[in-house]
Formats: sequence, structure tokens, C-alpha cells
Amino acid sequence: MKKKGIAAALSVLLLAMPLGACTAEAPMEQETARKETGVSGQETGGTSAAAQEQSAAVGDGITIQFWNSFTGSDGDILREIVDRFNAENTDGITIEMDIMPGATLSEKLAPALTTGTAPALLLQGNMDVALYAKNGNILPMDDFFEMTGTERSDFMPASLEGLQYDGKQYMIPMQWFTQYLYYNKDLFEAAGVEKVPDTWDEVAEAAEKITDPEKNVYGLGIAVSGGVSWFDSLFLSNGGKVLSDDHTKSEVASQVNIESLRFIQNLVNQGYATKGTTGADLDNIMMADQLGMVVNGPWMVNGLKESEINFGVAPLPAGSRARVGVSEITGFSIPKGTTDAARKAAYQFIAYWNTTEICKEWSLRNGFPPYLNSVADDSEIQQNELVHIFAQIADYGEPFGTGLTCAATINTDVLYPCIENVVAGADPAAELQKASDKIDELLSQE
Amino acid sequence: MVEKIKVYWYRQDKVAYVFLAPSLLILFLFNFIPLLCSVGIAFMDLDIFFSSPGFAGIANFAKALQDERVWNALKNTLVFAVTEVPLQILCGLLVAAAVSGTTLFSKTARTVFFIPVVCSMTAVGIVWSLLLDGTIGMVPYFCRQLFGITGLNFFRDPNTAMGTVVTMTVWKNFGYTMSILVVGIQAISTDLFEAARIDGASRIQQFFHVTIPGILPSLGFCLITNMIGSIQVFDQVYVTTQGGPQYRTETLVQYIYKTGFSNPYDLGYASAISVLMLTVILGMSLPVYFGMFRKEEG
Repeated sequence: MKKKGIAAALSVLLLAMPLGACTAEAPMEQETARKETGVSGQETGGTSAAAQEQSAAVGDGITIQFWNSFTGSDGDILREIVDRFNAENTDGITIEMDIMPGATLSEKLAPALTTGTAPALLLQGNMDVALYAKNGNILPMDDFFEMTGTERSDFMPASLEGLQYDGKQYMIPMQWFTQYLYYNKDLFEAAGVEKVPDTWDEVAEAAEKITDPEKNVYGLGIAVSGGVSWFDSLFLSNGGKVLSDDHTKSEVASQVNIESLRFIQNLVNQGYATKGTTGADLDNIMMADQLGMVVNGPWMVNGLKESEINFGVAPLPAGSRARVGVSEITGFSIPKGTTDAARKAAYQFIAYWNTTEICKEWSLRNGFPPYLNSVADDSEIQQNELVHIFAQIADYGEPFGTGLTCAATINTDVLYPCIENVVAGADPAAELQKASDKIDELLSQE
Repeated sequence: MVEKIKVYWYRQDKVAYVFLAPSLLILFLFNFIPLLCSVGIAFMDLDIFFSSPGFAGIANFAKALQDERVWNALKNTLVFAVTEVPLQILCGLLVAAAVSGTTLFSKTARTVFFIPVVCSMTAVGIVWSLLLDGTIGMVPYFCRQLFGITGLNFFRDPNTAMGTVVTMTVWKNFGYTMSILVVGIQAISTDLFEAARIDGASRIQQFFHVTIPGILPSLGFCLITNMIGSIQVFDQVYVTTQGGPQYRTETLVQYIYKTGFSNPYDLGYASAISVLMLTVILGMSLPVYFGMFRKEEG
């Protein structure tokens, strides 16, 4: 009888454990009572969100999750800054950072939002704003400046505007960038190329000289997937467009764009540009000293330095119309379901990040162009060669697909496959027409 | 009544249900229920955020049948299945016949051939990608240096990408088929081989007339499991080619995954393609099942 009783008690306990877990708060914020408050863990463990807010308001600690995809060397610097914030802030805020590849983040985030288990803080791109804001999956952050005392006027207007949807601020900038031309100085010297290309025609000339099939050296790297959207920049710089000004229809199948793709196809056919390479492939080839030029973002700097490549960075080459590079902004966002206490904690970190000191450090150590006026005006920043080049985003950066939920899809699922087919030998006119039809289909679903 | 139930359950043969119960429970929870759910979701207009769900009827199925990427993915999946399965079984069979003995060499060889099976497909995919990379890969480098062959880029060339994925999969998985067939071969009575030898049968004749008939049930099992596994091909493609180049290696599961778990996050449509894939798997595996096992029962 006694044994049966123990067995019954254990059974109830076993059943109760998962049920108890179900009633616990989502992992996005786990309040931790600080020793000096005298509040025991037991007391805070199962409290409601409202009680947690109160406890946070009186100075209890709070731990929030922070998801991002800074898997490169920049992630180490980000972690360092987060650790410093955790140690220095006086409100007991602890940020637990989870770094994962971008695709994994997207895959994890969607079900996490649905099940209310999303983190309190995210880093996303400007092309995600409309997709997540439209269905209320991220919260408006218009109150950020008032709540934290951060100077709105210190932000360059374009850095904030790119993160707005329907007139509301859904993300706060963390960094911004456009595309640049990286070149291998040793290969340039060996090929006798003295001038860094300033136009796409000069890129073609340099690529021809640098290419050496014997040594498996290519003049120009062309990404057909998994890279930056260099083709948007090429189209725009030659006077072409991808979308109509009001973003209601495609204008990608224009004669100007067909000519732009023919230009790329010729480079590939002549063997001066890589064929069928992904963004990751190009990184490898560049690090292996076998690539003369490639278009990429500022994050490439650290990898090239670590690989001891003798490289240089130049603004994106100009086309027949102008010099244009698609600008992108990475922003902090707060998912739906985040409690006020967790949101306040996240705001504090975002405000900490957007101080002159931290943004300057990020620019100097990573090369990212400044988006705060106070950082841009800093003499040390102005004297830094790399940051000076990257800062030209203000001159030639243009946003792409602002306000569209399908902006990223247009690049990854429509234009990149189009480029891949053209590089493989398909007719640019036919491929652009197919792409145009698909873009129109996507736009009709907006 | 209670007594009758007790008598029924106390029978010795019923103990099997006790041992089967945990597996059945897991199958029920993680296979059967999700299967039913996905069939239900296939008829719904539902994204992963559960925003404004609605009944879609057969719209998702109609869309799938008109989607050229579904047909392309189906074609790629079938190409993969009809090349990978026979190759894997052939390699497994030949190696099993060669190393089914009990010598130290045979045992060591079996272990060596089985090593890729226990390796993670992700690790294998990365290693093969690096070895075959068109620029920094060792294999293209030696082909260039030794034979003067240039421009090799196995995973990135539309003409070689699928073949390379098939080859890598066969290399990784044939050890599993081999191990099953070795057990089958070892179960064949040595008397049969001896009798065949006395009758003057050569090694090849013994293989075709004694070994093969003796392991038919094992071959049937390998055929069905490999076929189902190959139609569900995903991880090797995900790691090496991501479905490229030019969608030449995009398979059904890859497309389902992309549709459901990345933008447009369309669970209804992804589920509809899953249901269609289920019918393809049943259509291919049931005839094999009935052909192999019913014959045996008969």
C-alpha cells in the first residue's frame, strides 16, 4: 500500500513537471532576483508578467535574450560590447546573446513568434521591416527616443527612414552599409594595373589583365547566390530600375538592364569573371589570393586582414548614369509579446549601443560607416582610411524596396536565379522578362 | 469482464505490446499526429505566423500542380532516387559479397566501409565541398596538374551537380546497405555454397544463383528503405548546393522546407506539396513492398 502511494505521488509529480513548465514564462525574459533585494528565486520564478515588471522597476535584475546572425569576426566584437554592457549597467540587466546563421535565425524566429517564445531583442535587416511589421510581429519603437533620452537628431535621417513602416519606427539602427569594390593589390601589381577601377568599363579592362587561367586567377568575382545584391547596384548605376517608383510594378526587363547583364555575361564568357560561384565561394577565392576584384560589404575587411591578403577597398564603380550602391541597414527590433520590463531593458542596451563611444568603436574596429552625426564628425573617424571610404555611403547609397514585404524575396528568389541563368549562358532578355513576371506576381500579393 | 481482460493480457504473446508501446507512442506523437495535421493544413490558407488563417479548399494543390518549381523538384527527386538507390544497393551488394567472411581483413574492411555511415551528413557535405571546390579544391587541382583538365567545378556546374550529390550520398550510405546484406549473406547455409562448388559452379555463378536468391528479402528491405530515404533527400543538398545551380538539385523536401520555413512562410502550400510527396512515396514503395514481401509470404 505504501509503495503504491509513493508510486502514485511520483506519477503525479512526473505529470506535474511538464505542466508546470508550460505555465512558466517564455524564455524571452527570465527575471532574476538580485541578492541585495532579498527576493528569493522561488518568489520570482512563477510570478506574472505584471509582477515581473514591478520587480524590474524597483531595480531587480532582468535577463533578456538577444538573437542575431553575426557569425563572423564582427560577432566577437559585438559579444565584447554586450559583455561590457552586462558588467557596466547598474540596473542588473543581463543580455544573453545567441548568434546563429541568418537562415537559421529566420527559421527559428517564425515559430518562436507564433508560440510566444521569441527573444526580447533582435537584429534584422531593413528588408525585414515590412514583412515583420505588417502582421504586428515586431513592435513599433517610436517611444524609444523619449524613454531613453537618445538624441533623434544625432541620427542621419536616411538611417532611420529605412527602418520605418507605415510612418512608424519599427527598428533602431545598429549599423548601415552599402557595397564596395575590394581588390587584391598584389594581383593588380603583377598584372601591371596601376589605377583602381572607377567605372564598370575600367573593371572589365582590369579583369582582362588580371585573369590568368594558368594560375586559376580570375579578374572579377560574380556571385550567383548568397552574396550582396550587386546586380541591383549595377542596374541602377547604368540608369535601369528594378521596380517602378511607386513599387507597384516591375521595370527590370528594360533594354538598359539587358545591356548590363550582357556586359556581365561577356566577362564570364571571356573567362575574366567567375562562373557559378556563390558569395561564400568568392570569399574563399579572395582569401586564397586568386581573385582580382569582388563586390562585397564592410564585413569582408576582417577576414581579409586575418588571411593577410594585401587588399584595398574602393567605392563601387560608376555606371553610365551614376555611382549607385544599394544601402542596407541593420536594426534592433523588439518582437511582439515582449513585456514592458523586457522592452525597457532592451531599450537601455539599444541606447547604450547608440552612444558616440560605442558607435565609434564599432566603426573603427569593423570599418562600418557611421550613421550618427557625432561619430561622422569625429576627427579619428575622419582620418581612418577604411571608414572614410565606407562613409561614402552617404554619397551613393540608395535603399531598395522600402516598404515591401517581398523586397528580400525579389533579390534572393527572383533576381539571383536570373543572374545565375545569365551567367550560365541564358539569354538576358528572356531571363529578365521571366524575372519581371515573377516580380509582378510578388507585388500583386503585397 | 475484468477477469477476461486480465486473462487476455497475461498471455505470454501479449508481452510484445509492452515492448512495442514506447516506440508506438513516439510514432503516434511525432509521426502520425503531425501527418494528420499536415493533411489538414494543406487545405488551409495559413502562414507560419498564423495571421488570418482561412479555408483554402484544394487551392494549394491546384497551385502546386501549376508550379514549375514543384515539377522541377519532383523531377530532380526522382532522378536522384532512380540513380542513387540502384547504385547504393549495387555497391553495398558487391562489397558485402567481398567482405562477408569472418577473417580479420573482412571485419576490418566492414568497419572501414561503415565509418561514413556514422559521420554527420553536414560534416561529409562540407568536406566534399572543400575537396571538390573549383578553385581551392584538391580534386580539381590534381585533375589540372596531372591531366590538364581545367574548369572542373563539380557542385556548381549544372551538368555535374546532381551526379556529384548522388556520388557523395552513395559513398556515405552504401556501408549501411552493405551491413544488412552481409548479415543476409552470412545467414545463407554454407552447405548451399559447398553443393554449388561440388557441382562445378564458379564464384560468379555462386553469386548469382546462391547468394542473390538467398538475400532477396534483405535486398527488398534495402530497396524500400533506401527508396523512401532517397525521395526524402534533403540534408546533403542543403549543405552542398542549396538546390542550385539553376535549381538543378532542388528536391521536393528542399522546396517544401523553403516554402514553409522561409519567406513566404506558407505552411498551407508547403503542406500541400508534402501530401503530394506522400502519394509519390506510397506510389513508388507500395508496389515494391507487395512485389517483394507478398511473394515471400505466398
